[in-house]
Amino acid sequence: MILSSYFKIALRSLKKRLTYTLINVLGLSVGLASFLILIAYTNYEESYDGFHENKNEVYRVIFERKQNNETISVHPTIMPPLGDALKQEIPEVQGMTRFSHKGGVVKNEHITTDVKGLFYVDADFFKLFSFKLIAGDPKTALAHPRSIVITQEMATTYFGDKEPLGQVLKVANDYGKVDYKVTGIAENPPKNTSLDFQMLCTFETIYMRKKWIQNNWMFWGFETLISVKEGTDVSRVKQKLTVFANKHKTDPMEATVDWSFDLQPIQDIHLKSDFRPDALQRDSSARTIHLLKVIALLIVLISWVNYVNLSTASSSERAIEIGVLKSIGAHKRQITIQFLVESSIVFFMAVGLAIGFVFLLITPFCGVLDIEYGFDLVLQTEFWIRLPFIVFIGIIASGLYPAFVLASFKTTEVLKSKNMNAPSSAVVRKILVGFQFVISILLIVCTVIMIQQNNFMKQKDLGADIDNVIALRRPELKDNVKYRKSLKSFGKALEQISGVSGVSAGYSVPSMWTWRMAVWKTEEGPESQKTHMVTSIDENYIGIYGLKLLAGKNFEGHAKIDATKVIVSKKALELFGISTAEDALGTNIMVEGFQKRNFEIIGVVEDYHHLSLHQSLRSMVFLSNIGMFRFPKVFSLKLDNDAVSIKQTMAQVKTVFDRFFPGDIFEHSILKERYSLQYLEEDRNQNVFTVFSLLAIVLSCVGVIGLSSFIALLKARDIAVHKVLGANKTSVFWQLSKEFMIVLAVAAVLAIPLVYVFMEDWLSNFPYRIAIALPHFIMAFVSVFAIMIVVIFFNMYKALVKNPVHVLKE
Amino acid sequence: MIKITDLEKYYKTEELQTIAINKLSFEVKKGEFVAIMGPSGCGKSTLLNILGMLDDADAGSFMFNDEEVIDYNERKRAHLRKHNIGFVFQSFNLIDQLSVFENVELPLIYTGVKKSERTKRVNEVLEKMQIMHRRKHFPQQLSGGQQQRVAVARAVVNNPNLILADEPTGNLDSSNGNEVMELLTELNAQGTTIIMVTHSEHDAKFTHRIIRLLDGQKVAENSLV
Repeated sequence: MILSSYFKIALRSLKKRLTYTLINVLGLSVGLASFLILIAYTNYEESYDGFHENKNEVYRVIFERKQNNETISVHPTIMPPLGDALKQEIPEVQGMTRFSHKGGVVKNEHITTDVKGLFYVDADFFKLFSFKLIAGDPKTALAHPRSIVITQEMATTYFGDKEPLGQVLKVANDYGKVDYKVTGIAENPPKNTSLDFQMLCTFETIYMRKKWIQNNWMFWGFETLISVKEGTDVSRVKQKLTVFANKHKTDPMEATVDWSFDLQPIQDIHLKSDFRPDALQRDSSARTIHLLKVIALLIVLISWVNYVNLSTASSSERAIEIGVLKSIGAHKRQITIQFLVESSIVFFMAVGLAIGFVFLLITPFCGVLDIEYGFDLVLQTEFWIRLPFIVFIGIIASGLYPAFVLASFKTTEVLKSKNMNAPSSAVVRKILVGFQFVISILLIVCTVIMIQQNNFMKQKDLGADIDNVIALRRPELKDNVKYRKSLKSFGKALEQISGVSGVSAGYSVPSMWTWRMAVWKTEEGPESQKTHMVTSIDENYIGIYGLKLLAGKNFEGHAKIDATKVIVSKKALELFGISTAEDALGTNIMVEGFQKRNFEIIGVVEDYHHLSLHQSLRSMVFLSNIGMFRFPKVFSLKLDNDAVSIKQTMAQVKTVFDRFFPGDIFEHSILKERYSLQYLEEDRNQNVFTVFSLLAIVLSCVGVIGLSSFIALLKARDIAVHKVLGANKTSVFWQLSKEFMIVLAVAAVLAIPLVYVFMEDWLSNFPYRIAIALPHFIMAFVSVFAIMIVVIFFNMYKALVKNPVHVLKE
Repeated sequence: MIKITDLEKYYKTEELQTIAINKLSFEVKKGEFVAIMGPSGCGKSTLLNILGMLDDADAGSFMFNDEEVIDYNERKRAHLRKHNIGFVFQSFNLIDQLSVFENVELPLIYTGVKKSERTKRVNEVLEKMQIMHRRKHFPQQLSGGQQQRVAVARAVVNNPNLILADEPTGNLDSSNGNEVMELLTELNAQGTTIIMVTHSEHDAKFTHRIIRLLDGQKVAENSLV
């Protein structure tokens, strides 16, 4: 019964102070909406692969190579024979599947498409994971070679209304051209999986085409996932794996290398995969998720702090009411509950509005982050289950203190004076405003530093000229001499196109991953091996990318002559222990995978950043297009500066492509844009920080507006007296805003070490980084200071210009 | 009903201590109507707050219905207050966001009276105060006299033994003031003890006895009956 009175009084009180209520509801809802969106996103990222029933028993095998206790390389991939032997050798392993992401051009009689999500997997695939088959038997669908399981989406694309089971799809990729029989239709996988497939081919098919890899312990090319029995001691499995694999480490090249294995839980794959760009992972990381959670918390704290401040500052208005309630018998506890009820109403209104904001803003948010999750983010059950807890914590965290302050007013004093304002709550208020300022300054400085670091990385001289270069994917692979010749002729034809000033064919271009391989000086033997980035180029590569030849010469463009030659980067010389570029010329080296071949260093080029500046300069070894690199993977087209337009030139390139490879898929990218994509995570962080630091400022402003209004109200009489005594507006304004400015100055000082701690840690991840400097702080402080001055001035202007005579009469 | 002996109350700041009530002793019997008078700052309101258990004394004895209450904690004081004492303030102190009916109902809610009983008692008291026709209005819609009637109604709705009135006519014109004083006289005639702080000699004439204070001490006591 008494509860209804609490509600009645609270509702009418909120209605009476409508502006105050609106500021509170709006401030809280904006803070809460930001929090919910960010938490929905981070939850979603963390939910990856959590839907598999035996998620706690599924692991990816990680392979590490060490020499003299120093890690040479870590791979999320292992050797095919190890995968094959796992179930027999280690009884704890119940299921195993490889997951080889190849993609491929898939066609039937009607359609040809480039299917990015084409994987090769083992028969246990559906035993390990909870992907559902709509048609076909999960136990046998992938049990035989040349079988393929496709998603509903793909089934519709290729077969429309026809029955897909039993139909044939022709797949062409690095593993050759194979016909597959459709043996299963799978539900489209959810977006939150790192095994984001469209088609699954039987792994064994690879062996049919590439026999040499089946028993090859020196080829660690396949991601391998296992499921273990429930309650298995994982460390024992790792140990058994290590012991078993080392028995097969017979290649002399690995004699001095130790192999060890780790098991990565499946749920860690998405966010904790710092291996290589094309491994099973997305462009997010645990670090980013952690960062976003911190921002979410800070934003919601700012809005809660606003509520606490406004509530305690407005206590003067409530003093009489509290006095009366106490005088007619209300206990302190009852008054506390009364105000908690009021806070709850405000919070519930804010929650309602926040949910509206979330639905309204989720799409633009996904746009800022360049992600495609959309409404999936807010459709997570877990998200909605957590919401009441968040609201409850909010009510307790921000409603309890004001309720307690208000209920603690001394009855006799509040009934005597209308302007009641507990000094202790004023101190707490200053601390809380200071806290908001610290967060605002922190976020601004962090944003500025992030933007500058991002720009620094993007603008730093790469040592290679990637302007006006188009990367063109090679056509469908056909393993024959005719194909190789047509690639060569295609390259020549491209050179004839007006607007194209140069063409190069090779295994990789800047921004594109390439092999990390063991390389050693022939005279020193494989014991001296070091890991280098190895790729293949032709005689035009150095010219197109403007690499500086420090010594020696370029490839000649003659396959037989170039086949035993190699060009290296300056950084490689350090690893070979050669001091000058000239000294390197004539040195013979051997490369993993090409053991029978001696390569003579014929040229040394200046270092350049083949991959993003997230990594230090790598030592590069350039072979000509031979051996495993004999089919160039990508063409680099250098366009003239005065080329009429990229579009027109590319139209001509396509015409030539279609002439040489009719019906093949034409795929190209502007290299500079492709290179920038490596900074996607930084771009996202930058966007999120910019948006949310602006939001933090806006929320802080809302708080300051509310607070300064109350201060103006409380000090109206003081202002009038000052003015009567001759003070001008400026000095009165200073009197009123002094409190804020002092708090702001203290906040700026406190923010400095925090920024240093956070941002030094963040910047330490970058081998090429900017330094944190004083101007960063000055800029943040001045901007917050200027914003606050403007906000406070406009808010207090009415009080400043009010006729003191009227005020004193009142 | 009330007996205070050598009651003392100090106000302390960092540098000085002011005596608000200085060894004050007097007794108020059940059914009495007593006025407390004196110049501003003589301790009238402080005394009233102590008697109303809104404030505590620093020394002396305070017997309420033959029980020593000087050491009562906040919870016990609130309990005693809500069952025994009604307050009437100079500035009415009605809660703006509640209607006349709801303002009067509030003390009954805090004492846990059931809804049907509350409605009955509030209606009775509003009838008695002749303000029933304004039951749905809000305080700001009423005249000063009407507001004070509501405040009196709120003070008596719990049938308190004691009403403490702090300058109840201070904000009213003489006509409205007289009406309020007649109301209090009538309540007293029905058995309620009333202690009233006032500056007005006119109002004091309605009471049985006047206690005059100066600097926190009793300087005179005049019986009017």
